[in-house]
This record gives sequence, C-alpha cells and structure tokens, in this order.
Amino acid sequence: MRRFDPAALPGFAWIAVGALILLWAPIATMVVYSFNASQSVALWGGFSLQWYAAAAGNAAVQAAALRSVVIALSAAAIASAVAKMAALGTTRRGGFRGRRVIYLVINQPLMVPEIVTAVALLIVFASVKVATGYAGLGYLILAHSAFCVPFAYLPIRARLEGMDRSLETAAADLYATPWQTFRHVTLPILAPGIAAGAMLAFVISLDDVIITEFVKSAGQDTLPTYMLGQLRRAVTPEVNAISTALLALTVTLLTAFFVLTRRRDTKP
Amino acid sequence: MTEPGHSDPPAVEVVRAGKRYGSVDALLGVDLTIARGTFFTLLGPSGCGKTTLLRLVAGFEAPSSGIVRIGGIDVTGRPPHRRSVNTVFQSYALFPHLTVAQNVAFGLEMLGRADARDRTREMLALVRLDGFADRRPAQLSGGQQQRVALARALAPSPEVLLLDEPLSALDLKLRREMQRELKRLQHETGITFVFVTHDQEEALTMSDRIAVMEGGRVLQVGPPREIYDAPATRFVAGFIGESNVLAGEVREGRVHLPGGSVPAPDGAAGPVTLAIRPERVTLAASGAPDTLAAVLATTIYQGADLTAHLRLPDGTEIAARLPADAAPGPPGTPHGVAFAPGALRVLAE
Repeated sequence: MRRFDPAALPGFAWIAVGALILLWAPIATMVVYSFNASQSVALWGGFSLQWYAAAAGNAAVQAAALRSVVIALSAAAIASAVAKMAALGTTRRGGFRGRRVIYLVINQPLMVPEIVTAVALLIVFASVKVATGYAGLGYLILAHSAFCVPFAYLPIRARLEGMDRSLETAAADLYATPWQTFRHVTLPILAPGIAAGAMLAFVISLDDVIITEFVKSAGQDTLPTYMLGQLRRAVTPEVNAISTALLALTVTLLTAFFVLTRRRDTKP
Repeated sequence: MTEPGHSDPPAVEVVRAGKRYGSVDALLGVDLTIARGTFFTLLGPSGCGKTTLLRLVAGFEAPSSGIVRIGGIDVTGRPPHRRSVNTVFQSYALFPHLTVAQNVAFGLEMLGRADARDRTREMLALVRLDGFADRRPAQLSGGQQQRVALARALAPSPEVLLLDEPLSALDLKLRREMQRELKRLQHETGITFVFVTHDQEEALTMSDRIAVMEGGRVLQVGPPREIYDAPATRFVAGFIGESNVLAGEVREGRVHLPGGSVPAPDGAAGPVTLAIRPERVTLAASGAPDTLAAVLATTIYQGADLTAHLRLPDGTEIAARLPADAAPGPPGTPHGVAFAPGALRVLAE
C-alpha cells in the first residue's frame, strides 16, 4: 500500500511556495532596505551603508547593544550551568517518582504565557526594589536566566540520553573516582550539548521583548526594547540595519548550534 | 581460605553470593573459586546470572548477600575504582572523545603511573595496533575496537581481567581469530581471565575451566573435557553439545532401557537418568548382545558426518553420529544400538 503523501496533493507546490514567500519575503525586504540610500522605507534610492553607520554611531544603540550582550551572556552562562545540573539530576538517577513533575517545572517558561511570567516578575521585583533599593541589571539577568533554562536544558539532556552509560562504568573500572569520571568522561562528552544550550539561551535572551519590557527599570533598554521604542515614533531605516545585524548574529549562532547538536561522537 | 601447601590465594573467590533485583533472584548463593593465571569461563544461557556474577566481581554491583575476595582480600564493599580488576565490555565502551592511545592510557593515568606512555606503546604493540595510536575509536573497525578495549583493560596489569561476551558482536571469521588472540594474550600476560559467554563451543575451545550456570546457580565446574564427557545434570548435558537422555533402571549390574539392556555404569543403582553423546553411539547388527533394538527413523547428511535418528520400542528417539560413508539403509531398517564402553553417564536431576 502507498503511504499518504501530502506532496502528491494538487496545489501542494503552490502552497509550499506561498508559505516560503510569506516567511522569507518580509525578511528579505527588510535586509534589502537596510542598505537603502534614501530616507524612505518604501522607495529604493541606491545602495548605501549609511544606516549601519548611523546605528553604530548612535550612543543609545551602543548602550542598548552592550546591555543586551551583557544580559544575554550572563543569562546563557547561568542558564547552562543550572540546566547542566538539572539534566544530570533527571537522567543520571534512574527513574524516580515525581520525575514528570520535575520536567514540567523545568520547562515552565515554555508553557506559561510569557506575559503572565512578565507580570508576575514585575510584581515581585517591584517589591524587592522597594525593599533593597537595588535597581541594577541584576533583575533582567535573573529573569532572562530563568526563562533560558529550558532552552539550555533540552540539548544537554538529549546529549546525556544519547550517551552510552557503560562509558562511565568503564571509567570507574579503570580506577577513576566519581569526580574523575565526571571530569574526564561525562563532561567532555557533554560539552557540545552545553555549548549548544548556551548558544540557544544567548539567542533567546537577545531576542526577548515582553519580559524585558516589564522588568527593566528606566534607562535599561535592550536592543529589542529600544527598537520597539523607536518604532513608536518614526520608522527609520536605522531599525532595519539593527534588525539585519541581529539576524546575522542569530543565524550564525543557530548554525553553530545545529553543527554542535549533530550527534556524531556520542558513540564509538 | 587457601588450600594447604599453597601460599598464593586464588585470584577470585565468591562465597555464597546472592543478588536480588526487587523480587527476582539473579544469583542464588553462588560459590566459586578461580585459580590464578587460568582462563576461566562462565557459561550459560541469557538470564542465568553469569553477567550479574561478573558485575559483582568488578564491583559495578554489590551482592545482596555473600562475599567477594580478590587475591585473598575481601573487596565486597569496595567501589570498582578501588579493585585491581579491569573489564572488557560487550559494547567495548571506548571513550569516543579520546584517541586510541588516550583510551589505552586512561587507567594508567588514573593510577598516576609514570610509565603510562611506554606502557601504552607496549600494549598497542601487544594487540598489534601500533600505527593506530592517534585515531579515534569511531575510525576503527569492530575487530580493531575490540583490540583497543583489550589493550585498555590489560594496560594496568590487573589481577583479574573480566570479559563480558566480548566476541558476540563480531562475525564468525573475526570471532575465531579473536578467540586465538585472547588465548595468546592470556598466555603471554599470565593474567587471570574470567570470560562470560553463552556459546558452548567458544567455552570449550578457549577455557582452562568452565562453570556452567543456570537460573542463578552454578551447576558444574571443571575442565572442558570433564564438562563435555561427564555432564553432572540433564541441563549441562543438553546445553553443552548434543546429548541423548534416556530413563532406565539398574538391576544386577545391567541397566534396563527400552529395547534391551546394557552393562550399567559404575555406581549406578535403581531408576536412573542417563546421557550419551551421539558420537559415542554406534550401530550393530539387529539383536547383537549388549545392544538395544531400534528402527531407523531418519538420517541427516551433514557433510563431514551423518546423524541417524533411531526409534526405540517405546518411541524414544536416539541420535547416532556416524561416518559420512555409513549406509544405515532406508527408514524402517532394524538396527542394534550400541554404546561405546564407559560413555554412558548417570545424571543428577
């Protein structure tokens, strides 16, 4: 019997092409217009890098970009450290009761609507701010770390589950203490998963608007919230340039992520 | 406990070792003594407890009851990294992120051995992988990976080398080659090998001694010839090679079987279960003395020899291995079934 193949249905090719255009045409337009020499976002006036220069020279953009990178790097580091421990805890202890509950708790940010988390964080952090008087980047870093954990957790767990358990047994058999086994066998085999998780977390953090918008104090714009603020006034091609730069960075990191998560050397 | 006159304790001693998983008994009070420098095989079907026993010796699992001694020292509660025992795993378990040389050196480095480099080179030469030091395990064939696993486990010169069905993933030709290789390595290093297999032929050709296991118990321990020629139980007789099993009764020095009587084996009395190998069964003229009356049921030609299946008057079938040029005639031909002197074995149930 032939399997059902949606590609054989009439009009499949047209729908596929239409969907691809819908996905990519706006992005392509944005990229093209970021090189526009004219002031307009709708009329082509020749090739120019002026908007990139303008964005790079804008002190507000510089500050927002730096803030974004600091938050994303911190969040990626914290989230992947937490996720690594969570993954070891959930895969290395055999089955235990409440394991499913733990998966749910770890993956909470994937399921709870982001706006709900944002409001909740706003309320909690507002009272903490009043109580402590601290209003630095710490709140944003903490909030980003929290919602980045599941993104960092999944590739590490996949790596751990694909790892041959007898490797750790073999290390113990060859006189490695439990710590040496972790240091010389488990960790190096896990490393690509940890790196992939950290990159994913970095990209997710870099891109966040909703939670950042709610949690940030005055003057703590990240790149995305700065752009949102700009668009409320006037649409300038400068935003196109910043978006294109973010796109390039994200694509680079995600490509690295896919290369790292290709399972090549987990098994001999 | 050591035998009187021997100052060397045995390489491995297992005393009344039991292992339970939940409500399932994997081992039931196993006693086993493995002498130094021997090639010792644990043989049995899957689920018989042989791998569990191996894991108790390696320290990957703790016995529910009983004691494990290595070189005379009680190691029952010791973790694997504090036992002078190394393992060749069924899956090889080579470290994928390390080179062949780093794999072989792993144990030596964990022990902080200063001669790790020289010793690694020596071990790679021993398993004939001199040119492969900088490769990754994934770049090697199955047989080569097997050799790396062997070199890695032998490098620290353990008191005992455990091998968990290491040849089961190899094809027949490579397997034969590795069997010879293992014998050679055991001979050259003098290390005690404890080899786990379910393959009776492998066990017979490689071992100095074999322990046959079933259902969490050791049924019989002895050199291959003894296990083959004098199986102690019906299970051993059936598991190692082929056997005819017959029920009879001993009266006045003769054992009475369906179709006649033959001289009884020494010490047999009353109702007995007897085993005899097909190659020790011969055909004689119908009605000859000390034979059983039988008719030919089928013959199966096997190239090097011929197996004749004969039916005794009560319907019991008995197999006889004959030379390939034997002509037992068409089915239905009457024959006398004779047993080679001393070949009948009394089985314990």
